Amino acid sequence: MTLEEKVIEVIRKNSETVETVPSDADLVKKVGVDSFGMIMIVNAIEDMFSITVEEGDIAAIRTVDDITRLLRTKYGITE
Amino acid sequence: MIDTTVYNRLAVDLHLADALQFNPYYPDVQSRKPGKVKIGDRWLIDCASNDYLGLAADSALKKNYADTISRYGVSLCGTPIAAGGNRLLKEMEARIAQFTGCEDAMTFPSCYQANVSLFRTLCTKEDVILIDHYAHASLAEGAKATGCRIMPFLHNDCDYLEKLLKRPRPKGCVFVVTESVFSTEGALAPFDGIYTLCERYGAVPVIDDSHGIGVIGTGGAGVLSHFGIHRYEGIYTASLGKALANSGGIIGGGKNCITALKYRCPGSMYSTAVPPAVAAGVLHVLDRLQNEYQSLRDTLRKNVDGINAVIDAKGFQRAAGAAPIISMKCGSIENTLRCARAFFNNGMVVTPFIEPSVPPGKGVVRIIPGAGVAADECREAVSRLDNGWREN
Repeated sequence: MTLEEKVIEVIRKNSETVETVPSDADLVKKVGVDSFGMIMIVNAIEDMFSITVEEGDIAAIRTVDDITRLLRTKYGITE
Repeated sequence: MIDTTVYNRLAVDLHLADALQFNPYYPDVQSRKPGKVKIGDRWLIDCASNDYLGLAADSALKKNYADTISRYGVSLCGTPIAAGGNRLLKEMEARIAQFTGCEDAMTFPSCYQANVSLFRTLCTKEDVILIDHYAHASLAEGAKATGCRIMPFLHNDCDYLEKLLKRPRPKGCVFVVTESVFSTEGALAPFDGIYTLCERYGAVPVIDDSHGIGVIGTGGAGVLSHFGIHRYEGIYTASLGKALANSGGIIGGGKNCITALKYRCPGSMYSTAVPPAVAAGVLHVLDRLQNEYQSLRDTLRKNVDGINAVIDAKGFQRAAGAAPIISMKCGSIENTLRCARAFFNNGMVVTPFIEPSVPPGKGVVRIIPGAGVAADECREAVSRLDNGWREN
């Protein structure tokens, strides 16, 4: 499973309604993730990769691509 | 010069309401009687209010208000800790505590204010709040205002909640926050399971029973009765303005907790007290529930079942909640408003819920056919609903 697929799986498992998640889609405006939903996603990613995401980085997340980019560049996670 | 550009931040897009020539929000209610509401020059079936038991416009309750006002005046114009305190309020708080299964209770001008004030007073930054993803805005706003860590859990999902509770404990306390009845869908929280998890992991449960009090549990006693929870050690909040047909909100809990909140909670201490007539009104309703609850509850259930049967026969989709709330699935904002407009044109007022109150594309029309509405009129109004509101 690629990093992108892992992130998409996290988003789906931490949502009641999200079914498909295009990697470039705005999670809030297009996918329907709300503020609590975003917190659940970030918490799950922190647990999965044993990291702590900084608040400023959370605010900058718009898409799956943003999350995978953050994981690669800041935390050295590639898969 | 005053900087009026700040108000641009609050701009609201009302183009859809304008295009539909229908805005269901902030209705121009001119009068009300059991089961009916007058908007403009039309008397409409009231399935929008939360008057589950149909008591809010009841003549005996209105007389009770008038009698109390003649003795106390309309308001004591003071806070409960000072000039607003009165015997009726104390008696009502004691009765509502006993009724709901709490050791003690205190009153607020609204349950929204109770919920927001509760967390700000009780929580420290070292605490963690685990909160149902779909918990009411007042609980979410209250939790956010504390500055402590918030960890939402998937809606009504005890397994997800337990995973969060298994994480390393914070320095402070862990609160688990949810509602008994989720008002947009009518789903019941699995609060027996949640309470057990709180006991197992040493957390503090906070339950908002606004749509459960007077509707579920023995005699309408609410969620604690419904799930057979005795000697409740958590925090309980509820509205007095729904099935109990009055206004205001309460926080219930252990005596130590309530005494502390009475002297520390700004949302109560610095707000004008709930008027004596409201306290007397709640006492009046609690008295009546002792004899009338089952009959009113049966009528409510019959009304819900009757409308559900028509909705199902017409092929409309609805949520399968256990509470006496009908939640008809409409989808887009446009369809949801069109559906509410179609009901309105058929002589029935309902409540459309659109984002952000519900997820995008998951709009619903909520119908609460309280015990005061005429069942045949309700069914007739629903049966005249065609598919015209589904335009996309």
